[in-house]
Parts: sequence; structure tokens; C-alpha cells
Amino acid sequence: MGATFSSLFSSLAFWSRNKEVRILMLGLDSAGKTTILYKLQLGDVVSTIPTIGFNVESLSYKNIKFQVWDLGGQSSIRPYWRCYYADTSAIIYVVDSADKERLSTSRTELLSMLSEEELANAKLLVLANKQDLPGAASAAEVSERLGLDKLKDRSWSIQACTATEGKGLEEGLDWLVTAMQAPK
Amino acid sequence: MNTKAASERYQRQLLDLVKQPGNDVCADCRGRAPRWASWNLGIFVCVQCAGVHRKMGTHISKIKSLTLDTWTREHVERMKEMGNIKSNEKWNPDERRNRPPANVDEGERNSELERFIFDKYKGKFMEKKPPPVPQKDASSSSLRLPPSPNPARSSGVAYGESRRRLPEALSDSDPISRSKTAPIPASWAEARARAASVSPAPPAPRLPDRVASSSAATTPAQASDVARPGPASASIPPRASSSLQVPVASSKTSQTTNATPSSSVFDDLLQLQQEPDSTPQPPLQMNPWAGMQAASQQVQSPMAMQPYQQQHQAPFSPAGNPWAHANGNQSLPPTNQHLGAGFPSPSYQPQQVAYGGLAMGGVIQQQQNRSTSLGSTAFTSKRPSPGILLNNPFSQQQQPMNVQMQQQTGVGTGMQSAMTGYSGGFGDVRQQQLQQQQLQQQQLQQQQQQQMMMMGQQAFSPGAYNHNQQNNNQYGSYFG
Repeated sequence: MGATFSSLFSSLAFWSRNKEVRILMLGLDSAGKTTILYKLQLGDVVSTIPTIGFNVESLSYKNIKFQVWDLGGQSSIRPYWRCYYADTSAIIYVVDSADKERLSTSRTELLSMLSEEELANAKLLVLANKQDLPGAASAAEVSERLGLDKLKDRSWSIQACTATEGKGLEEGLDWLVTAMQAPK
Repeated sequence: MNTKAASERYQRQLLDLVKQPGNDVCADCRGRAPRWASWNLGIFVCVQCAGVHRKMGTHISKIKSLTLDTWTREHVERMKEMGNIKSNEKWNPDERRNRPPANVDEGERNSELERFIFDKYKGKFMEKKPPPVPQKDASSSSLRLPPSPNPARSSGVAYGESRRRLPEALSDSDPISRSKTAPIPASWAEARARAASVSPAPPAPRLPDRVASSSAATTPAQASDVARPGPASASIPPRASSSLQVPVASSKTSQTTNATPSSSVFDDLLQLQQEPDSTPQPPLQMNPWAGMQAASQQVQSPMAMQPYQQQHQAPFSPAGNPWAHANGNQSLPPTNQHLGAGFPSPSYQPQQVAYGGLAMGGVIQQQQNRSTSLGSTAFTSKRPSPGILLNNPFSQQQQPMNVQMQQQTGVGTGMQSAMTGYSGGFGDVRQQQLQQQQLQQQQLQQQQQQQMMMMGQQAFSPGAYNHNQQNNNQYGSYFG
């Protein structure tokens, strides 16, 4: 029975009942990854502490099950992101738009991540988070500072958001869903 | 820019700084052994307060981990210049009036703490009229620990009141925040005792004795001793009630282990939770967030292991993927399984727990900081982290899974006791050897773990999945 379903939807593998779309949520420390994850899952803003390791949750959005991995962003644990690259359909890269000093660091990390072969087919959604903070860079500015427009062979999008208010998150996921349904 | 040697040097400097009086407690909540810092404010904070600082935004506070982040000279200099005492004089000159919330319910405390920290660094406390000089001295003396001519008199009139409430605050079974933001110790006699025997690494098995002897001295009546002159080395002393509870807790834990080999992990966890201080309090190198994370890893581990083990198994050696392994070990801690029988001492084994249970921190620290023994004594609280795991459905789903795994792989009792976490004890001297053994044994163990992981997949989906252990493994190919 499971096999039947699988073959029926083989062209849309992520539709499959039992298959979850695997998504990595990455970004520098303190970008808001954990807050976003739990805002998406619970609809609430939780009090987070710095993630040492990861959080993983499954969530459904528009009938698609996502398995979202939120990996810690401290500099010395970033090298371990790569352990999670395989079989990843999409990356949600979270940026603290108000932390302009570290946008260049963020860019470095993003580019080195995208150069990994395992992520060659992964869609990229950049969330320019913390738009509510004073002096936050706009999505366009973040996009420029990250060099997104120079990305080649990558389906990407950037979305301004405020995780604590939930603004922009759904729009981001909408894009993700569309992008993953689109033929390659 | 930062050479490796330089960043190691900075880290050493930081770790020295954080031991200095004043810096050895969280600048905001006075929890012990802060492992995080706000480099622009120049303060050392605990992980929970770090979380609040991050919430404020980087325009107010820029949080870094002492051990997991890369530091620059500029940032370290900033920490040197400022420090907790100076910072508190600036942001909260009247600590007597504006005390951190210490003894309210967990949920309340979080929000109170948040409000406190927000107010503090928005400068609300700065506007208060400066307190009379002697009072100010008295309140800040708790951080500075100046020599007091008469210890019994206790310079902490202002402070004594809050101190006196500590034991009761601790005795309410607050599982999380106490372990992370434990108030500073009540007795410097105890501190000295601990300092003498503890640093640089605590000989774990001796803890109960020492604690028992010192516990007699740490009654609420003596709580005001806090401001007595302490050793300048200022290692982090234990708090009063932990010393009272540790012996009880450890014996209870081992009883549990021996008496109910087939009881569920839930029971163990519940028991641990009912005794907030059953987690031994590793004094100097306490690594609270590690415990939190480890706890979170525990509930998530089956899933966590899945991707790596299936996909990276060949290219990565067991040591090559600390996350996966840390997770594996957390749901199936290696310690008791192969080592516990050989070293059945009744105390705690922070390093072992750290190694097995810590997701990132333990491993990284092991790689980088063994000499500083920073990561050596992370403790697992065996409790979910606040906010996150309280809301984490997996914490409900996956615990039973562990039990199931144990039974089916036939290492049930060994793991069962391992799950309780504290029953095997190791002297510090042995620990490094043991770790090496562990590394080897992990390879052997990997196979076992993989089996577990296959099962772990089912933990990912609630309920129904778990019934189909065998079938699901076969289904794997359909969906893979």
C-alpha cells in the first residue's frame, strides 16, 4: 500500500504521505532560528536559549509535511552543519537584519554552505529576520549584502520577517512550497 | 585573522576572567558559573540570561559563548575592562532595590527575569537615586567579597534577606532554572572546602563525603555568611541545598537503578525531576547549557541519529560526527553499558555524561579545551530545556521509544541504568583513559546503535508506528 502511494506520487515525492520534506534552518547564532521554528510549529514565541546542537520539529504547511532542523549557529558548531546536508530539500537561512556588522560573516557562511555539492538542488529561502528592531536592514539590503543576486543555478528567495510577530513567515513558506512543487 | 593560537589564548584569558570574583556568577541572575558573555556590555551571564539578552537584540547586547564562539582581542579586552561588578554598578547601582527574580515559579520567573533584564539594560535602574554609601557597599560586597573583620556579623545585611530565601527557593521542585541559574552559594566555608578539593577538576567520587560534611554548616541561619571573605581564587562553590540533597539523590538513583531494572525510563526521569538537585552540581566547570541541550538531545535522539547514520555512515568515523554520536550516546549512553560495571562507585560522572550526552558542547570542548577541562564536567539535567522542550511533542513520544529500544536490543538493563545517568562514578584521573576506551567501544557500539536508529525512526511518528517495528524496516526501501 505504501508502495502504491509512492509510485503514484513519485514525481512529487514530497507529497507522499510518509515522506517529509527535510529542511535545514541555518544562520549565525542569535539570528532567530529557534524562535522561527517554534513560532511556525506552535504559533507561539517561546523563550529560547542558545541552541547547542539542534532542534527538530515536523510541521505541516499546506498539506506538506516538513521536517525542520534548526541547527545551532555558534561559530564553532557551524562546521557540523555539513553533517546534515544530505537529502535536504531546502534551506531556510535566517539572518539577523539588525546585526549589520555580521552580515558579511553571514554571507561567508552562506556561500560556503551553498558550495557544498550535497546542497546543489536545495532551494534557498533567506529570512531577513528582526525587521522590528531599529536599524534593521531591508530585505533588499540583506540580499545585496549576502550577494544573493550573484547566485547561480539556485532557486532562491528572500523574505523580510519578524519571527516574534509571525510576520513574513507564511509568505516565506509559501514560496518554499511553490518552489518545491515546480519542476526542476 | 584570528590564528588558532590566538583564539586559544583569548579563550584562556576569558576562562581566567570568568573565574574572578564577580564574574563567577551571572551578572543578571547570579546563577553560578556563567558560560556566556555579552561582549559589548562586558558581562558574563548564564545561558538563560543569555537567551534574554539575545531577545533584546544586538543593538543592546551582543552575546557570545565563552567556549563555542570565536573571540577577538577587542572583545576580550572589553570583557577585561568591564566585568560583572563594574557593569552592575553602572546598570543596577542599587541591587538591594532591584533584585533579580529568584524565587517564583518557573514560568513566572522567566518572564520576570526577562522584564528585569530588559529594564536593567534599558537603564531603568540607573535613574534610581543612589543608595546610601554603606548600603551600597553591603550589597555589592556580595560580589566583591571584601574581607570582613567579623564574619559572623555578615556584611550582607542587605543581601542577607535574599540569601535566606535561597534554600526554600531551591527546595521547590523547579526542574530547570535552578540548575542553570542557581543562586550563588550560601557559605564560603563550603566554598573553600570545595575550592581546595575541586579545581581544576572535581574528583567526582569524593563529592558526597565532602558535601555531607559541609552540609552541616549550610543552614539557612548561616546563609548570611555569604559575604565572608572568600578565597581569592574564587572557584565556584556549590549552593547550599545541593549539598544537602546530593547524597540523598545519588543513593536514591542507584537504588532505582538496582531495584527496577525493568521500570520505564519515565520513572527514572520522573524521579529525577522530583528531586531538582539530584543532578550533582559539578562545581567549577559546571556547564549548565550542556545539560540542557543534552536533555533536549535525549528526547530527540532517535530522529537525530537517523540521517547521519543512514547517509554518512561510511564517510564519517564515529568520532567524525560528534553530533550523531553524542545523540546516540544520549539515548544509549555508553558509560554504564560498558564501563559502569567496572566502576560501580556511587557518585556522579560529569565527564562521562558530558561526553555521551552533550551534543555539540561536549565534543567540541573535548577537542579544544581538554587542557582547560572546561567541557569536562557538563552535567545532564535530564530535564527538557525550558520553553522549547516543554512544548516539544517528541519529549512525549520518544521517551517510550527508548524503553522499547532497550528491550528489543537486549541490552535493557544495562541501558536502563545508563539512562538514570548517575549511577556509575569515575575518578577524574581515570576519565581520560575511559574516554579513549569509549572511543574504541563506540565503534563497536555503532552497530548496535544503528539498530536502535532504525527503530528510532519510528519514534519520529507517534503511536501507531511503533507497533510496526519489523514491518517498517522493510518498508524503508519503499520510501527511501
